[in-house]
Amino acid sequence: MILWYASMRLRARLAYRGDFAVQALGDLLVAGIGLVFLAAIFSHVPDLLGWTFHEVLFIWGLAETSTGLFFVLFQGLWAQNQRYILGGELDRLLLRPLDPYLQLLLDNLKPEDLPLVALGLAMLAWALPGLPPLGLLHLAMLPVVVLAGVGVLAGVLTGVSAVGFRLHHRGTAINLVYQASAFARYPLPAFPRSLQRLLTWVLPFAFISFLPATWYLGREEWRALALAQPLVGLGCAVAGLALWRRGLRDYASTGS
Amino acid sequence: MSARVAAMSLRAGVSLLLAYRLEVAVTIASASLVALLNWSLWTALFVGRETIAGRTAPELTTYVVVAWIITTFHGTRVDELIASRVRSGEVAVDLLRPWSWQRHLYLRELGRAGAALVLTTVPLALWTGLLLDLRGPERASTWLWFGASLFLAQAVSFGFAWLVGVAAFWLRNNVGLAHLKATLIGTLSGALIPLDLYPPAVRRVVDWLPFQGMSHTPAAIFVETVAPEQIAAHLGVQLAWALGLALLGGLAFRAGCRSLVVQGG
Repeated sequence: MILWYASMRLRARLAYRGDFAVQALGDLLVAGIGLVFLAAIFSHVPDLLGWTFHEVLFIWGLAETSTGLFFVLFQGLWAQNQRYILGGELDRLLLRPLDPYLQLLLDNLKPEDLPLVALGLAMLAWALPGLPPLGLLHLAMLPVVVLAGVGVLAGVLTGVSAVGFRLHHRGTAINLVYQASAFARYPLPAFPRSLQRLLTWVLPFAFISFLPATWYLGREEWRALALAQPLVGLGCAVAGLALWRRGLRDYASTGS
Repeated sequence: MSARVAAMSLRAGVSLLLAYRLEVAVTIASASLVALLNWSLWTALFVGRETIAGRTAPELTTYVVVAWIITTFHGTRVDELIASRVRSGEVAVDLLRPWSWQRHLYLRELGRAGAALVLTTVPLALWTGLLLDLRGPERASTWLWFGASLFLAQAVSFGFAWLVGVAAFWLRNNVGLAHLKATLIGTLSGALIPLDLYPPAVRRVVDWLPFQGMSHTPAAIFVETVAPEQIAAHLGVQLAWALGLALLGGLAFRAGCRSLVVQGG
């Protein structure tokens, strides 16, 4: 059922191949700004507080991979307020015999952003030659770490988007919170202490990429937090979904 | 265009911004995030070194904050409005009015930018100036040149956005172009990446493009890395681009209108 739904969506998107390619290339271009940024910085300095270009590239690549996958799967969160709550389409989802959250996601899958995942993986591959060699366990854990990163991002933003059921606003709240995930692309020690604590314990974006990356980079200081990352990802996802369902219970249609 | 119409256009821009108060608050919050991120990053990069690309820590950290927060003043999405009116054909209504649509939109965007300056850019400047370790200009005259450069930056931003919007006459889908616009401004305007970091060959190319007139020129004037005797030349380049883009935009728009008439039969 889910696969059928997803394949219908993919076929609908591919009906306009030109637009599909333009969108995919466009998102890739914008994502490339970050790469230019890193290259420009590290052409002048050998390290950022002791973190080398390859190490930062690895952190960035891991964040890009998770973020790209997040955009492919969770684009529905961006459509939720405007189209589904204000536009009234949510009522249609609620009448169908499939979970509304799942429908929201499947209705809005964005395969155009798969190239972002490829870009992220390419950055990881580019970073590897400049890093201490990885073990088999590191490689085997990579899919888990990436998925847990998606879990952190998706869980937090799903939880935040639950306020849309009450506020009936156009949906800038999740955009703002998403923007804060940009901090996840750099070594955490680059930020003031209070911000570090915020990104670890309150808005746990440090778990998307930086903390698990320390395990790959052989930095012992964050060992416990790095190893807890898969659990944190799962916890965020579960908590976010629970908040979303709670929000849905309070939902009253706009009637439009 | 009469003075009365010009004043009306400016006012329309101001009320446009005032109508979206929540958006103003969100812009402040999101620009604050990026400013804080870039400031922290550059402060950390200077640990253990005196200069990067020949610039000192106060120069570069102030530059990145200023270059970013002034985008809340000059940044414009008027290209999306133009493209949607061209694609829907509503542009025909704009052509009927007894004044230039280009001039009207320029003034409207200027009005919006003015309101944004007061409600967004200045509050951002105040909190970053108070809480982050930034360096203000040493010469009082710098403020004057910075103001002039900001005014021109808005004209350059508008001129480029107008061209991107007008491209809708020939392109069916502007999404790709909007991404290209974001990428060019993100990499070449100085808003995110200090232009002094680029290798000399790239820098020479960037010097011949309009984008540096959006964020780099005002920010470089503010941190006084532009020598006093060179300020006039920098402002002159900005002015030349503002006028050149306006002229090119006018020609492109007229050409687009002709092709529209041919298609409409």
